[in-house]
Amino acid sequence: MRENNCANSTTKNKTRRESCLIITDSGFETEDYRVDFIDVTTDIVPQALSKLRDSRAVRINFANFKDGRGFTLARLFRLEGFKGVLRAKGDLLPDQYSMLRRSGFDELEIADMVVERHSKAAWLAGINWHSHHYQKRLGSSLIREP
Amino acid sequence: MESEIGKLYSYSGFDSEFIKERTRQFREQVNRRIKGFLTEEEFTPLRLLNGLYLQTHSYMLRVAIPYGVLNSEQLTQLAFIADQWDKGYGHFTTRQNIQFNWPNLVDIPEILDSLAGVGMHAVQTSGNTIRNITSDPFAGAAVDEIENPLPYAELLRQWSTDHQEFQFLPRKFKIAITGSLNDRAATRFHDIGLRIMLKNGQLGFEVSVGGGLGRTPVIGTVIREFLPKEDFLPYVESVISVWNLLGRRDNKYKARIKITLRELGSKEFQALVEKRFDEIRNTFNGADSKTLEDIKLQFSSVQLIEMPLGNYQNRHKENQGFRNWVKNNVTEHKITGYTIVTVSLKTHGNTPGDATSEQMRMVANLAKQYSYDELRISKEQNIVLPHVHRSALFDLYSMLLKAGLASANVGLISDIVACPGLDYCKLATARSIPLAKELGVRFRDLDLEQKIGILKIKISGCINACGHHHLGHIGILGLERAGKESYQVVLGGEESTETSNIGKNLGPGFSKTEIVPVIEKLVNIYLALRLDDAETFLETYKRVGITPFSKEIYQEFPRRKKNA
Ligand code: HEM
Ligand code: SF4
Repeated sequence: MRENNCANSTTKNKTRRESCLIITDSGFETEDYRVDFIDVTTDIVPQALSKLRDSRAVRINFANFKDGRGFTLARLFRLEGFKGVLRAKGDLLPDQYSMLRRSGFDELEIADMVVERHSKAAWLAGINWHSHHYQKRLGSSLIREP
Repeated sequence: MESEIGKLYSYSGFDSEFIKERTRQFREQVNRRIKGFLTEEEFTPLRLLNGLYLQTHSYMLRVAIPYGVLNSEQLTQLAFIADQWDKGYGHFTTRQNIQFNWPNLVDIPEILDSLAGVGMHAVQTSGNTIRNITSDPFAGAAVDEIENPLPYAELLRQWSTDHQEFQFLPRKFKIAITGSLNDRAATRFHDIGLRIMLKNGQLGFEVSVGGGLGRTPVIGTVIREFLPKEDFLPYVESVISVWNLLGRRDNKYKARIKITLRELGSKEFQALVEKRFDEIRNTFNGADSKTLEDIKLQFSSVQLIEMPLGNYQNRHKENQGFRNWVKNNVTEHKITGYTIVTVSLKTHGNTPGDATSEQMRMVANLAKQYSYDELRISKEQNIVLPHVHRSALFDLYSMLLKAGLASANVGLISDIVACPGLDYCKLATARSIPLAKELGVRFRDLDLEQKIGILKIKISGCINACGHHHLGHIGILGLERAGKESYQVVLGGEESTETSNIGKNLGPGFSKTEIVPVIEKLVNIYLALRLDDAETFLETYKRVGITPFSKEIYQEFPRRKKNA
């Protein structure tokens, strides 16, 4: 495993090279493949996002954990037919991982310092994101089964 | 003859599992906070999503009473919680919730467990998310009902619970739904107001958006005159989806949907919603309509049995107190022989909305005995027994009398709505509870209440308007001026949809010692002006306008030029 750096880190502190972890349903990964992500921020208008529909990989950067726009953007983007890898990036909470997955994200990129601070156990608890899910029962989601 | 009415929704296995899991998660979150894994800033929205506030003296837990409906077991459990972990009482709010003002943080998970035991929770009673859905306290019983709104309210509850997109909205979001012509849910003062309509024999909804109170009171704008009922959920989702992306996140005072609507223009907003609706409508595969049908079935039916009137007429003739109580607190039911009883929590001199554990247990038992085990909490902070047969009214009245809960004052001047104010709330600028108590006692002593007739007083302890002061026939807003409490008076607010009005400011405010005499004077001005006994305060006000009131008031209570 090699350490990668959070090149497009949302933190303003550009001098520090942070290392990041990728959180997926199978646990923690460091970046061991290279897809070129197209980066967007959560203030993007849906029409602009939809132009990226045929890309391979898109990364939506959250301003902070209270920034709920990313969830709706992901849902709309999947609705537009985006089939590629959709990654969230930002200092989100372990409790938000299930919301990300249910909204249409595949994974979360987050500074490993933040991962550690929340404890790995807390992140792993969030991975069970399908159970107890009202919206799926009501047929309103576009969740892709893993 | 027997007539069926819809009864309570009973929790499915799925609901119970969800609540259990949610409580387990919250226990973990509290642990993570205690261990320092979560910062206070991170923990705050998580605890708010579970109804936990930090107030002046301690934490406050706000428990959801979904669309204001309870059974007696649930109310009994709330009484148990009040005894076990609070000071023996709870506070019913204008949003059909109950608040416990004195719990300890460490006890919260246990309280949540005991709520879960009776199918209750505190999920999404605060925070920037879709809040408890409010509805008509007379739903399923009202004479003027087109259709019972409660199954739709339950569908909304399920759909909004833990909704993946909508847990971190720009600001709180409140939805109200009614199925009657007479709007008892103040739908036009909610972020989304839904009114069931019939059009050419088809059932649907009128949808209004952007109503609200707070520092910028606004009457909601209708953006869809008629929405077919099948489109109910996708349309609501579209509204929130559009706002979630556009709502201001830079300034919390500009974040509510009413401001988005104002900044964007309601036409533009409406167009965006319709476009979003076109996009997402097809992703609802009909499971929502099926769930709705299931919910309708799960609101298991009860049979209301036809019975003779018994001693009702005699008692009514003989007993003046009973007669008054029937006149003010009892409403016609859609099924002949039955009535809707409002139990007033506004005994003169009491804190509006407070109920002791003993009172809760008492009313729970009465509901079991006389109202098919069903109760409602109204936005006027009273308890409603929705299905009581007329023959049982006198017995019920006698029991309430013994418990000190038979005040015959529903809709009258002492049926005051008030927020917690400075006594509990850390945002408050003035006290509201002591004022409500004082007014109640004053008008009891004057013995004028029955003569005055319908007159709604609503009091908020700050500009956030939790006490609905903008909607009072007389509204009182407590502010702070130069370190002293100062009360502003507004007149003429009302919340029925046909004629929704936001109260008008009477003029400069009054001191703590002046405010009760000022209200008394306002009432006397009205009594002198009214055409006859039947003309209510609001009708007189509408006929003569605000000037006759303000002129006389400021003659008697002149304001000094500086620092009134
Ligand atoms: C004690 C803790 C409470 C706090 C900190 C609190 C805070 C607030 C705030 C900040 C607003 C303004 C929101 C805005 O305009 O964006 C508000 C509105 C409101 N609150 Fe409270 N509140 C509390 C208790 C209550 C209680 C006890 C009730 C019911 C009696 C209540 C019902 C409402 C209602 C009906 C509104 C106005 C409707 C609207 O959202 O526009 N709140 N509250
Ligand atoms: S109106 Fe103000 S004082 Fe009253 S509860 Fe709301 S925030 Fe507190």
